[in-house]
Amino acid sequence: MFSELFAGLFDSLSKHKNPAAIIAVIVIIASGLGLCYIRFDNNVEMMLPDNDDIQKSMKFLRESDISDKVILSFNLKSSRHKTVDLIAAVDNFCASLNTPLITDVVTGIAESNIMGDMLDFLKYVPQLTDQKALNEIEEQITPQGVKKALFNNYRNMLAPSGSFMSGFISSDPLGVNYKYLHALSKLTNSFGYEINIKNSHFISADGTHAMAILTTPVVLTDGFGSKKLISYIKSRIADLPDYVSADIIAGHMHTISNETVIKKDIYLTLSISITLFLLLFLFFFRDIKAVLLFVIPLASVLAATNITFLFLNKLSYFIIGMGGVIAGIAVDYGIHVYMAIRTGDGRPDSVKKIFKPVVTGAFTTMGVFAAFFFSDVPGYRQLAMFSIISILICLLCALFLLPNFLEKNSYKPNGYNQKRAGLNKNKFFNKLISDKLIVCGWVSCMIFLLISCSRLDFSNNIEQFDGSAAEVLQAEQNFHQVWGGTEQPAVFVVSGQTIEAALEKNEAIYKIAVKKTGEDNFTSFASIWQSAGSREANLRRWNKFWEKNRTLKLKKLIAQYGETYNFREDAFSPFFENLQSGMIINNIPDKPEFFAALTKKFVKNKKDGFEILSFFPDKEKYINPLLEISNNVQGTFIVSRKMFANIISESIGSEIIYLAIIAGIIIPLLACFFLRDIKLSLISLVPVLSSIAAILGILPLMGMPMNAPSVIACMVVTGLAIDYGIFMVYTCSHNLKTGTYTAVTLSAATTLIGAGVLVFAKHPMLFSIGVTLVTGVFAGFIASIIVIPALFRLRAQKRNLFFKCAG
Amino acid sequence: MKKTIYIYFTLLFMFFANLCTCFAQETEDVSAETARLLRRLEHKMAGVKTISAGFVQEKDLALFKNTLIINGFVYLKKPDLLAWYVTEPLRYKVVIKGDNVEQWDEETDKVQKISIKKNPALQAVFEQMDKWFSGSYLSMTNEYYIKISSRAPVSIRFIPKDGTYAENIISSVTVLFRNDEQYIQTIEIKEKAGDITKLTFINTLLNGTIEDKAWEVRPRVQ
Repeated sequence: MFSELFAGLFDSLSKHKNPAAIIAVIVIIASGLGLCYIRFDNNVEMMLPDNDDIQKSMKFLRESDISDKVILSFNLKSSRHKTVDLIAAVDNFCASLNTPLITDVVTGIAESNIMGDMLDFLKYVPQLTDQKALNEIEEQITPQGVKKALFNNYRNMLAPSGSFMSGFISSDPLGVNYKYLHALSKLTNSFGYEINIKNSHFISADGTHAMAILTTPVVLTDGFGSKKLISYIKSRIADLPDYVSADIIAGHMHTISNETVIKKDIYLTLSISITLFLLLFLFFFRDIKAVLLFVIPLASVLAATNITFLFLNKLSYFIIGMGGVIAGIAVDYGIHVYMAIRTGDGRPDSVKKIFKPVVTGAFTTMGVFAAFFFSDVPGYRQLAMFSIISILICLLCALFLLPNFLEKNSYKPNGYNQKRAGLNKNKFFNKLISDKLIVCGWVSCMIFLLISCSRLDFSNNIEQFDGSAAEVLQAEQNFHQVWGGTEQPAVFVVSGQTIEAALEKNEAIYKIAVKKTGEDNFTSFASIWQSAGSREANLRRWNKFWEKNRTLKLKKLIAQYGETYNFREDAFSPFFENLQSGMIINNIPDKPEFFAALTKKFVKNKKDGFEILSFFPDKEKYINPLLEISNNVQGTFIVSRKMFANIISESIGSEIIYLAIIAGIIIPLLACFFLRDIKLSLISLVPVLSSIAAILGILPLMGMPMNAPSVIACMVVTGLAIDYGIFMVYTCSHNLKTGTYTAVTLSAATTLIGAGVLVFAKHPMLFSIGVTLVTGVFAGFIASIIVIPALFRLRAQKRNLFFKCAG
Repeated sequence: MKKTIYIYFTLLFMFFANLCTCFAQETEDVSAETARLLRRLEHKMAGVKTISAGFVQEKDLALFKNTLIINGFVYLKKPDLLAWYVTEPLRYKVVIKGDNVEQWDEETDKVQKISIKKNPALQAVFEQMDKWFSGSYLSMTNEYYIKISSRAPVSIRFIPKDGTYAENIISSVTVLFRNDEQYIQTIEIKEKAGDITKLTFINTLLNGTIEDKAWEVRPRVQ
């Protein structure tokens, strides 16, 4: 039925081949022009699963302070100049910045009234002191405790600058404020960097590097804006004195670099593949019309790019990078049509003989890509649509347009003859090789590869998606060598609709978390500021605590033991006079200034509420117990590089199984549907099994891990290998003389060209895809032209039939 | 003990960070004569590599009934060794070796150790101490008006400028040099609140050999 339908359509279109060709040309030109309007996206999130945890982490990172910052690390190159010269150069550089692309510049700690600020902050101590702290103070209001406190104060006065501590000591004889000063220090040192302050500037330990932090409104994923920004900064860097250089550390550098690398890779791979295709067809066929065989898939990819963009409104660069691969797959249909027509004496309707296997092959390949529609990864779903449309267009053109332009008269017999077309086993080997030996050899290889795949590793490193150039990565490495920060802490995020709700939740989390991790391993805003409710309760407790009796007791003890150290009777009056003062602030105070700066780091004002961040070491022994806490408290989550990698690994692992099951069902079903024979369907799966075993077995031998891109490639190989299998099975079972061996060989060759060029790609994703495709396609090809005919012959022998799979 | 050393260093930072914060301009708002004098003093003091001196520190503070008299020794060896040893009224010692600080007192007989490598505040503190004791006064011109009080012996008065943090606490700092101008004789700090601290160096030995035991934080039993 399908064959008749195809024949009818074919004949009908043959009568209108010229208008059809004109339409095709118009579509190609329009598609080319359409490329100028397409918005490409190099956002790495496209290639990550739509997993809640991943999305939360990526959203957090996108909206964090990191995403709008550009860090400059200035380096003093000459030993004849000193840190002061470096600082002067930094100051001049910052003064020269005058662009809306940079909204703020920070080069160090601003000179401000630090002591006054500190004293202002310490006024909140009564509302920050909880019951536990009051108990500790209670223990100090004893003869022993007071003696010890007074001794400490006296000893501090003996130090070189002890004089300037008078104000603090007189307002805090018991050292109550120490706890909050310590917490403040911990908060400011929680980011893992080793920064010294000299002349209010951020300076490295050896004094040869200075840091400046620029804030920009340019979004990280804005390629155009990033280029403008970085270009401007580089132009300013060029004006630095000779003895100072600067490295730029920013996510924007990755954006630009990835875009540049991918574009270069696309140009390179397309150029190489176009050249090789041309050489292949012109050298082998010596027929100018063979050019049509590769024009069709390229035009299909071009048209598919535009159509996919119309549906999805954006396209990932990664997917377009796969364009060359898709072209290499899609060219197979044209090759089979070409060979069929040539062996059919140049008659266009020879294509009717191979219509069924070509369509079967195309549909099984499309079926594999269709499996990606069920994926959680948005990029995979994009790939599914793009690939299916490309293949469909190419299929239609190969079946309906191409045959009408491969006329008998243009056929040149030189360099081509039927013997050469019949690449049967007698042409491969000088003497006959036992089919049983071939099959046994294949089985042995499969066993060896399956054993090897037990060593297969899976890489869950997010950096596999980053194709930034070596210079960008080297600059970051240099930065970390100077400033530390290689071990970035993980983040515990607490959210609340109101600031009060967020603070309350944050306090609760803090109390539980420090029990699991220890106070030193969990840096929380709750250590210096709590919710209004808690502070009100604290202040009530504080005022009650310092009611008359206790105050009198302390005064007496100080008077008694202070005599020894020559303290005046009224030495600590400031402390007693301010005991009952204190006012509750409802939210977070915006003074003192250093406190406001800390708040900015730990408290985030979002559109839908507030987030408060706490930091802890990114190690499993802390992640696991804190994850348990987070799972039990709504509105909290953890952002951890380590955990992120594990989530990706698990997500993609289950993705692989899921997609493999779908593909594993679709492919045999389609094969059975078209071949109508289970045994033939099973034989057609031989190249598929060979390809998969080769990929899984050879990658560990090459020391390469499996990763997300190679999963995609594996699925693509499956679709290709089944094509080879179906063609060989169909040809052998129907004894077709349509140049199948040559067509399959050429198909494999073109796919290897399309995939092999990716081995030259700089982008790690494209490189990984290239290696996987080359390995799988080659294995599938060998299995299809050697093992399938051997299996057929053995099957025929069993039935006492003579069989020759001439192709 | 840990509390105390923490408070001590934090507050030291707060003070010293604002005392000497700018290197960039050397001769702002000083007369040419003062600038010449400061350069001369810096040059002479730059030649001093080690200092061993006794000191008497008189603290006239509102906290105490009487003036607090502190006796002790100070040792300095460039680039990064400083020991401050108080012998009276109680024995107390702090030793700074590069990135490490150790503190001991006879009452507790315990040694406290802190690394200042990851504590920029402390690092800033010790850099400032080093400047005062090593005479890098030319770099203080952004924070202080610097006036010559006398020329023989040289005495320089530092008055905090308006808008600086030091202006909130200090009225003036007066540094008196030895006759040979090679080192400081006394430093007197007058605070706005009325407190006065005077540090006098005695029996100062410049570029002499300092015994290793000077850098041991816990003094040896005699």
